[in-house]
Amino acid sequence: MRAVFGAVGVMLLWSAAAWSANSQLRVLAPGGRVAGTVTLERQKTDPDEYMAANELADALSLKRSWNAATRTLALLVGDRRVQATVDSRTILDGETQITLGNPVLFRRGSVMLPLEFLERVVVPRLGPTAKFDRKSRELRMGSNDLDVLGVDGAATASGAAIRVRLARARDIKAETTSPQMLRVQILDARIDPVGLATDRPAPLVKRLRAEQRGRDAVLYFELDGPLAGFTSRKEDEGRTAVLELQRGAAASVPQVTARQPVLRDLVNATSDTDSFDVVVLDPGHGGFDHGAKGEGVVEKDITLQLAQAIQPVLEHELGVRVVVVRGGDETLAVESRAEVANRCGADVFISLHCNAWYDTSARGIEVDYAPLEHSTTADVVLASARRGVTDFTPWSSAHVPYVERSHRLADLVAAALGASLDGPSRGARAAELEVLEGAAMPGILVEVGFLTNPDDARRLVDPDFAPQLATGLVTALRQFRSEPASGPDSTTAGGAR
Amino acid sequence: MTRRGGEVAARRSPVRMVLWSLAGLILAGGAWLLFWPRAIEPPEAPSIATGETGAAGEASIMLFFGDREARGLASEQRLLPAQGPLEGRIESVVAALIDGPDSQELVRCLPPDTHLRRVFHDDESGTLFLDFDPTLVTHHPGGSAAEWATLASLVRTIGSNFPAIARVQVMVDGDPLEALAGHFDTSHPLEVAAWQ
Repeated sequence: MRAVFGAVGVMLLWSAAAWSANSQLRVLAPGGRVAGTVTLERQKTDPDEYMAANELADALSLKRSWNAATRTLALLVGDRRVQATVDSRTILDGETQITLGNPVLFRRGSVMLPLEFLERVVVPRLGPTAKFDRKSRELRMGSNDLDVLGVDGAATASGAAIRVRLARARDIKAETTSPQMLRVQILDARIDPVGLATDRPAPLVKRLRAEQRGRDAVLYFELDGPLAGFTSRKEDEGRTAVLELQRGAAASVPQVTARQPVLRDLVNATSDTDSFDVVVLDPGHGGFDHGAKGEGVVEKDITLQLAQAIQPVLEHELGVRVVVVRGGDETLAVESRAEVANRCGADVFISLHCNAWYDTSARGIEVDYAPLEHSTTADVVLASARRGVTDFTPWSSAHVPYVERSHRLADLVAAALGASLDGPSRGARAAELEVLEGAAMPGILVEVGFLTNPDDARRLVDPDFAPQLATGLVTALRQFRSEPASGPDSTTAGGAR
Repeated sequence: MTRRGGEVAARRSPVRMVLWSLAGLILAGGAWLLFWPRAIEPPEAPSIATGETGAAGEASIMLFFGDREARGLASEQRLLPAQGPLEGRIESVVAALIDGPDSQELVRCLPPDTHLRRVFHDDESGTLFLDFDPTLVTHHPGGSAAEWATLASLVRTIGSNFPAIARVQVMVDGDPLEALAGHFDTSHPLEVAAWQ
C-alpha cells in the first residue's frame, strides 16, 4: 500500500516540480503601454519556455476553440486558423505545416505552447509591424492596428492648432458640446483610449480623453477657456486632421462658472454638502433629434419651452441659479448634457422629456432615476466615494455614488407633480438612462406626459401646464434641499425598469 | 517450507491483485484529473428551451409584448419552428414580435413595417447580432418607455428561448445602433441578464 501512495505522491510531486515559472512575456500596445502579460514557464527537461494557451489568447484577444476528442486547439490569428495538437510538434496553418522544435504539451487543464510557437506562428500573422524580441521577451504590437496614432499641437496667433495624426485617411466630425469641450468623432477608426489620454497635449487644451464608441473613435478636448470658434481641415492626403481653435467667448451654450474639473474629482464636485445653489435643466433632444411626436408637436420644442418657462420660477422660489443646457434648437450629444451639469457644480440635474407608447391609452407623468450598476467598477467607485477618496472616476460610473439620492429625489418629484398637475402620475421608476450616467450629482429624468395620448399631448402645450410643473418641482426640491446627505450615498439602491 | 511458502504466496496473491488494481485506478484517476481538458471547453450549442412540441417540429416559444398602459411587458406563447439553423429560428421569432400579439390586451413593441435584414451569431462570445433596416429607427415612436420596451421585448424574448445567447447587439444597415431613440446606449451588446 505504501508503494501505491508513494507512486501517486511521486507522480504529483513530479508534475508540480517539473514546471517552474521563469519570466513574463510583455505585450506592448503602440506607444509602449503594457497591454498584457503572459507567464512563461520552463520544464527542467526542456530547453524552451512554454506559456498557457489561454493566457496568450487573452493577452492578444484571440478567439479559440478546443476539440477534446483530438486534443487540438484552434486559434484565430489575424484571418488564419492555426491548429496545435497536444504532444505534437506539427502546427497546421490551413494547408501549411510548421514543425516546431518542441511539442505542444498539456498540463493541469491548459494547453502549453512553446515560445517558438509565438515567434514562428503567431507573430508573422499579426501584421508586418508586430515584433517579438526574444531577449527582452516583449511582443510589440503594430501601430497599423490603430487608426489614431497621436495628437499634438502648436500655438497660433488666434489660439492653437491641434493635429490628429491618423494611420489612414478617415472622415471626422467635430463639434463643441459646451464652451470648453470640443468633441471630435473619427469615423470607422480604432483607438487606444488609455494610451492616448493625456494632460496638456496642446496649447489651450487642458486635458484629452478618448474612447472607442462602437466603430468610431471619439476624442474629447477639455479646453482652458471658451472658444470663439474653430475650423477643421485635412492634410497629408487625409491622414492628418487639423483643428484651428480661436480663443474667445462662446455664445450659444449657457456660460457657466466651473467650480470643479469635469473628469477628475467628479465625486468632489458636489462634496460641498451645505450648499444647494445650482440646478441644471436639460431640455431633452434638440436639433436633428426631434424626439417623440404627437398632435402636431415634437418633443424637442415642448421640452425647451418648459425649461425656459420654469427656469425663472425655480430661481425666484428657491434662490438658486438655474442653468438650461440648450438655449435653442441645437443638436447636443447625450453625454454633453451631464457634462454641463458637472462643470456647473450642479446640485441637481433634471432632464425633461416627453414619453411615447404603442397605444394611445398610456398617459401620465413619470420620473425616472438610474438603478445602481452591479459591476466591479461601480463597487470601487461607490466604496471610494464613501471613504472620501478621490481618484479618476470613469465617466460611465460618475453617477454611481448618487443613485440613492436620485431615487429619493425621483420619489419626491413624482409625489409633488402628482399633486400639482391635473393628469395622473405613474410614479418613480428605475431605468438605465444614458443621460444620467455621467452626472456627478443627484439626477432624474422627468417624462412630463405621453405625446401619443391625445389628452396628454393637448395638456403639454396648455399655457397652464408649465406653471403647474414648476410648482411641483419647487415643492419637491425644497423638501430635497431640507434633507441631509447631499453628497455621495451612504447606502445602496437597486432595481430596474 | 517451500510448500508452506507457496501457500502463503497463494493466499496473498488475490490481496496483491486487489491492491495493484486499486493503485491502477488511483493512477488513472490522477492522470484524468491532471490531463483532462478543463480550461478550454467547447461552447454550448444554442438550443430552444424545452417546451411543447408541435406536430410539424414546432416548439412553444415565449414572446414578450407591451401592455396597453405602458406599465411593462407580458409574455405570450406561440408555436414556431424548432428545427433548422439557429439564425432561421431567430428570424421566425423576431418576425412574430413584429407581427404583434394575439391578445387584445397587449401591443407590439417594434414598428409594424420593420424588416430584419440579417441575423448572425458569434458562438464564441454568445453574442447575437440583429441587423434591421432603418425603419426600426425612423418609424419608432420615441420616448423612453417605448424605446425601453422595444429593446426589452427583443432581448427578453431571445434570452428566454435561446439560453446560449448571452448578449444581443442591435444593428441597423450593418452598423451597431448608437441609440434607438436617444435614451439608452445600444452601441454595445445588451446583456441578456441585465434586461430580464
